[in-house]
Amino acid sequence: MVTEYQKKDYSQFGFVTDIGEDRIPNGLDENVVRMISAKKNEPEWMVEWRLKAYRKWLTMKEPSWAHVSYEPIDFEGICYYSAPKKPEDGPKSLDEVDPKLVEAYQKLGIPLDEQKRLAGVAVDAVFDSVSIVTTHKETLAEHGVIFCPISEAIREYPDLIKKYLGSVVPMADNFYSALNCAVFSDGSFVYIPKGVKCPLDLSTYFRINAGGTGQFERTLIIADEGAEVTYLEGCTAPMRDENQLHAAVVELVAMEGAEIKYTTVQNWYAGDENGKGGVYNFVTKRGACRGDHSKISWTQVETGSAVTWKYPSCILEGDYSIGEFYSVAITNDYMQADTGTKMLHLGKNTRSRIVSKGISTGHSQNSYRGQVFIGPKAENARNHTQCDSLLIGGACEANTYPVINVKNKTAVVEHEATASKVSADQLFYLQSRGIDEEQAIKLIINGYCEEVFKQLPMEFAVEANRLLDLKLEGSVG
Amino acid sequence: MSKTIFEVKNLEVSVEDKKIVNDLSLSIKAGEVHAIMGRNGSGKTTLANSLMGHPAYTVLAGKVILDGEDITECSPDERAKKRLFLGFQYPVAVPGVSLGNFLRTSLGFVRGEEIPKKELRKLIKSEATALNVPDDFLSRSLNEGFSGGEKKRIETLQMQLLQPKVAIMDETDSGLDIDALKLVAEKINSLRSPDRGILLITHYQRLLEYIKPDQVHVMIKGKIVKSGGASLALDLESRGYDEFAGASNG
Amino acid sequence: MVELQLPTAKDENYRYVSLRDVAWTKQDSTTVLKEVLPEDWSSIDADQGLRVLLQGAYAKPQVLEDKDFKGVQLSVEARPVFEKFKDDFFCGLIGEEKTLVVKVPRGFNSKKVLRLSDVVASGVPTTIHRCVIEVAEQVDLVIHNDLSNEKKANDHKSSFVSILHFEIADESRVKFFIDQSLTTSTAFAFRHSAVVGKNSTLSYWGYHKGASRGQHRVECIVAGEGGHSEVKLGVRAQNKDAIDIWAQNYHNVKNTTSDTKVWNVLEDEAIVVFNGNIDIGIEGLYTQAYQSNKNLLLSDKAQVHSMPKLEISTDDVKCSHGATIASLDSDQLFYLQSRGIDGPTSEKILVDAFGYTVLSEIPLGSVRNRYLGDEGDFL
Repeated sequence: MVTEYQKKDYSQFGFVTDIGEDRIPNGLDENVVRMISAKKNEPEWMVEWRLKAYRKWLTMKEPSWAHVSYEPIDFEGICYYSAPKKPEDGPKSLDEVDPKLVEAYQKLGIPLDEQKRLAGVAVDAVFDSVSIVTTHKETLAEHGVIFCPISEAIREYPDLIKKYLGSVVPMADNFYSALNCAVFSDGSFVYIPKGVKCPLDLSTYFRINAGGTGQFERTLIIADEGAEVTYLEGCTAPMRDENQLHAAVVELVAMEGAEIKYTTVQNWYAGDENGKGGVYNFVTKRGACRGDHSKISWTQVETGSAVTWKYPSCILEGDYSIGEFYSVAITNDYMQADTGTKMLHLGKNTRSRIVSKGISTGHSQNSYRGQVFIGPKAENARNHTQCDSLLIGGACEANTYPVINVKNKTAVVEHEATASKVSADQLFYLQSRGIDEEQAIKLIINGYCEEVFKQLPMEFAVEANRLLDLKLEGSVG
Repeated sequence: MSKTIFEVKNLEVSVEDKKIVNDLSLSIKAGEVHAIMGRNGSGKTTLANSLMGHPAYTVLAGKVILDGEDITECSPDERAKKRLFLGFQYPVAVPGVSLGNFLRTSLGFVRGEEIPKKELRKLIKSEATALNVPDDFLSRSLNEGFSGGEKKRIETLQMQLLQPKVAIMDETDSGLDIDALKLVAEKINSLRSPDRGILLITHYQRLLEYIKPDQVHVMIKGKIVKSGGASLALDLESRGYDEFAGASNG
Repeated sequence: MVELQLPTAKDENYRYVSLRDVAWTKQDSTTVLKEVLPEDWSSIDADQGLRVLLQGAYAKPQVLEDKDFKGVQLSVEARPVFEKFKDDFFCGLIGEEKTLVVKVPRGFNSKKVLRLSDVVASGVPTTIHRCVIEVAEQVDLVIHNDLSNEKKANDHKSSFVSILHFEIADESRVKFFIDQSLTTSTAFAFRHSAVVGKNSTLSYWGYHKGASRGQHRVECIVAGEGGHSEVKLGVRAQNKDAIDIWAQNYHNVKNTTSDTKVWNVLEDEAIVVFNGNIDIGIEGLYTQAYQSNKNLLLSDKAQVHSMPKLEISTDDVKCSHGATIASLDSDQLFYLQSRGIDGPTSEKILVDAFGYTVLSEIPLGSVRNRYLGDEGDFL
């Protein structure tokens, strides 16, 4: 079991950058932007790019249309660059770690070494991480796959960066994307060459924790013609972070015949039972199916953060391109989620599929917001959307806000949404077979999420199920 | 020697950019009953639909000839007027259109020259009765709320009324119990005539117990891999499709 | 002709439709009489008919002549209503003080279909009105707001503004039908709302065809246990019509139901916008609410924008909505053609079939027949 986790570990290599120890003061101005860029040893054109975004950001206003409310963010009070934690600074053993956290790790079935790593405990070399990582890097290199930190890519592959960075999410797209362009500090860069099916699932499972949590991450994944890649972001373990605001930007580009599968499992700290503290997860994710017959598939399991605000979207430019969105979003206590997707059908014979399962408990608010746009030249577009909301307890809220715009008569668009509570009939049936109520509800809810979970790689699916159970504990029955 | 009433020459059909029917050829003489047997996914329904001219199916190559006339470029209604008939496996429902209205309109287009409008209603009623299709069905929405067996009987009724030169029946036996099957088979058998060709598309051999074919073709992955007499069906049943697939690849 | 300042395309609520060049004729308003009749209805016999006594309205105060009905007096008084319409543009066209209030007495049974003008007042134009219809308990009321026979319907560039609110008390059944078959270049704005009491039902049907600009807002608050509201609207949009439909349902008591269906057929360069909402409050336990929007797009330049919403604040409910947008089904077309029916005729049959499914839900035969030809053609 431990070895299996180790196999996913290769991605750790290369993500801890070498920096000095000075702290950057809070707040944001052009100097801070330059300092961040300098820390990354970026070329001049990159600094200019950041500054352009920063200047644009200054002219923009924070959006307020989402069905979420939160304490105003003090942009001057944020530290825009923090040094990664040093191993010596962390707890010496798991005994020094918050027992609730450790209990969660155990319930999620995370092996001991992983638990230590996640908690920031210095890990003895029980396994030779460097050699495993080297092996994986070799495999990827054999296939010509580039997988490195974005800062490395800016230095090593400037042509690719110049061509694709900001091409799917332009810097002026929204308030948070502009901010991200100015101050992003970490993230992944992936390039899969023509015809290559990436031999390994790429993952950021350990990368996040190693360097300190990335609050302004920037990820760019390019799949050239005929290429295929699966990318996994996040982990089920509850992640604690002093940084309240996470404003990441993820851009995916799929050329002709390429396929990108992007999976996220998010369990950021959601605040205490009264909703205090907690991470704000404001992310812009977008994929462009540039080439004909390309496919981008977003799968997300959102179980954390105080406020989740994200719409992984697909721009279906190529003919016969396909966009998919599978989501399970669970909110409890005072969490708020406003999430969904946008499928923009521009090319001919495009298809999109949206499956969204929301589960609200406690006093939480869970909203699906989606857009299906069929452009006037998008002949024979097809969309099927299914949004379901499950409400548990009488104090939570579930909302569905779909927008469907159709400008071409050959389109076929079907949208369906339901809201209900756990079926009493199903509950009774399971109980009549000896299963207690809480267990029965967990089973039913797992079944409810089945269609989304089966999109996850198997290990993730198992973790996701356990994560769901953990989140539901105490909220049901 | 009777004439060739239906001919398919080297047909290649694709749907959504995927080629499904690959270099398929077939020749039916007037008076004959042919059967194409194939598994699910072998391309049978694609073949049936493209022979009738469904716009979603692209003919990449080949010809379809009905009674000496090349109909490859014809629209579905033109083919129907030339007396080609397709009995669907899953007839689509058209809510809001009554069965009676639909039959009258269709007959008007196809046999309008032969039969005056006044006679149409009488004809429909008598044929419906013969097939145990009750009167109230005629006022119900087309194919809506009917059972599988009822839908197949209605397809057969249409075939009876339109008097085609060539009738293609796509999996007519699926979803039918023995009694319904016998009734439908009886009607198809009654259609046999020296001027007519019948093509049965089926998965199982069962239907062929009631309608004895003159020729049987085995279809695998969009191609006809073997043709033979009626006994080929029994052979297929006992040996299974895989063996024939192996034989064709080997 | 007065050029109205209408909501623009930038206004959040009216994002896709801008009503342009709507003209209307100004109504004179005269002195409003503040006297009201006594409110003692218990002496009125339920079998008696209706007579409307108009007091304080657009024109002079008057008592209207008897029609087919026997002499039950209804009081029509002018008084301020509805806070929520304060900022609404169209409601502003007719001042609050000009609101007509009609009280339908307890146990009233209309027995036949009444025209809105019968219920409100014959002197009041049906083209522009603002009324509150208070329905008492155990009433059976059927009203038809027929705009198609209006003289104004054939006037180029005329417009209709209808602001109606129903206050339905317990155990009553109200059926309301509004339909129009207007010539092009007419415009309409409807603000219709209802509060439905315990075990009462509101059945609201509407059909639009011909208006070049229209905004139809229907809001139903099911405020009593066992209450039910049913809204069914059909729109046939052609030429350059721009039609905006809002259908909202609010449930904030236990055990209520609603069913909303909006069907749109779009041709030429028409645009239809649908905004729907099912809002279930924290007290709305055991609500069952459904909403569906079906759109048939028949031409290359037509556009449809559908935004059905759900806002649910309690768990024990059954709620769903659906929206479909498509052109004529290609399998259905193929089926008809495979039986020899040519392309254009097959298309017509399918459009008629869609129209039939919309209109067959209308229980008023006369109205249904107006939009369906003898052969079931969808006109």
